[in-house]
Amino acid sequence: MRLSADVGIAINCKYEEELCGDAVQVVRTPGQTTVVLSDGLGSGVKANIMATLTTRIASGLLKRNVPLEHVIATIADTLPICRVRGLAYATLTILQVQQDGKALLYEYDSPPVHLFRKDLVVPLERRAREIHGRRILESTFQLQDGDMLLMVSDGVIHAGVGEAFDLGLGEDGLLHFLTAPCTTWHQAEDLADFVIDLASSCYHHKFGDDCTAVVLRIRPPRGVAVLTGPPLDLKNDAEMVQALLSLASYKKIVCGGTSAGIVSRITGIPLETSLDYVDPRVPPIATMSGIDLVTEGVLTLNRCYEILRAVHDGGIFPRSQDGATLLAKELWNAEEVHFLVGKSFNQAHANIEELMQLAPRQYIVTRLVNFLKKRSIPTEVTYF
Amino acid sequence: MKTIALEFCVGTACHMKGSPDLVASLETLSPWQRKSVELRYTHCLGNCGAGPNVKVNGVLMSRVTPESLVRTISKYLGQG
Repeated sequence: MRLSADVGIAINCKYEEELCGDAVQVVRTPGQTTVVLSDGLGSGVKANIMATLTTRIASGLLKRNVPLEHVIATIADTLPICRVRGLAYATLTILQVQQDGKALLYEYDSPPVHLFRKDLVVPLERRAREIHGRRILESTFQLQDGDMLLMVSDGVIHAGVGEAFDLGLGEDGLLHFLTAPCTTWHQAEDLADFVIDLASSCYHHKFGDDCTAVVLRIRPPRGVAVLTGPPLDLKNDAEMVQALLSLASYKKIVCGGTSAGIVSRITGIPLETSLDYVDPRVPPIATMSGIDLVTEGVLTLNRCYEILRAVHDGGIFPRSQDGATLLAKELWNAEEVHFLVGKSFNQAHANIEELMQLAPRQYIVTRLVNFLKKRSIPTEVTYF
Repeated sequence: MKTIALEFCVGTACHMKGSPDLVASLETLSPWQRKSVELRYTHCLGNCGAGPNVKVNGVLMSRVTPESLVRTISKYLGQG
């Protein structure tokens, strides 16, 4: 089973500090998600620079597909040591989740990462390795759908030290508070916020140290299936619809009025078109039980491509909830995409497409596919 | 109260040929006429070449203009 991870991050600075001495980077490369957490020694600007530098070096190398072991070696070799304390200027945790569920974890001077499975904390086997004179803990383990991983900086472990608790919240305290929420909550962001709220309470809302919590929720990749256009041969209508329905774990999107009509006819599920003309450039969406989004075809696909290009170039998604924006958001967030494209051509569209300089269906789908592939999103197309 | 059921096609061809203008033309109706309209959108009425299409009480009208639509509604409902 292929797996991916949602990453939730929550950070809070030490009381009266403007800069945070913790830094987190998430690097998503084809087939893997890597999270880098670094805690700079002390707090304030120096800690911030060291933590940021450490995470940026690591993420920069990871983006260039440098193997994780080499990344660790590079950082171990370059990380300066504080002359006074004899400690490294920054701690480091790198966790990589691969698409087959294999996880690689490297920890240097940082609080241990915890794995939660259902209502249990699963102990991780670590082995110590000496890399460029640094003692680094290494662990390899297999993840499952629904697993949750928690990374924190030591500000969380020491939360409330000398105030709410003599020795701070501690790992046992953190695990005690977390086991129940981990089994019932499913959003990584919510859990990360929960950890920081917990630390805040322990500190009586005046953080004694920078606090960071990173939560990874393991889940199947977000697949999106887009059915657009009627098949060339009417006999293939059922086959095309069946192909869409067979992609069970995928979000299902239908682009095109005739296409939606075919899906409705084959499945027997009624189609209801919305009365909201949200964006005059794009016809309204429709709803159909079991289908996540139903939009018009060619205009929506062309506008969706425009939006994706704009976002790729640094823009933001439009705030409106029109079909093209909704489709663009789904494709942008997808981790696997499957297009089911009917090759039938509506002659009534020919003049309009020429007049409006719109790309016909198959061309615009090809552009979208190329765009997604450039973003390293596995994309398949099946023609009917 | 007499009502009129309007089903606008908002598919690609009808949209490009002016169905948004047809929808906007309903704003020109008098308040009591508007109350008598049962509005519905659909993604295709199967006559793309002759759009924009509207079904008025189940009867297909093609190449509809805002003027012809308002005229049809007023004829059916009366001017009030």
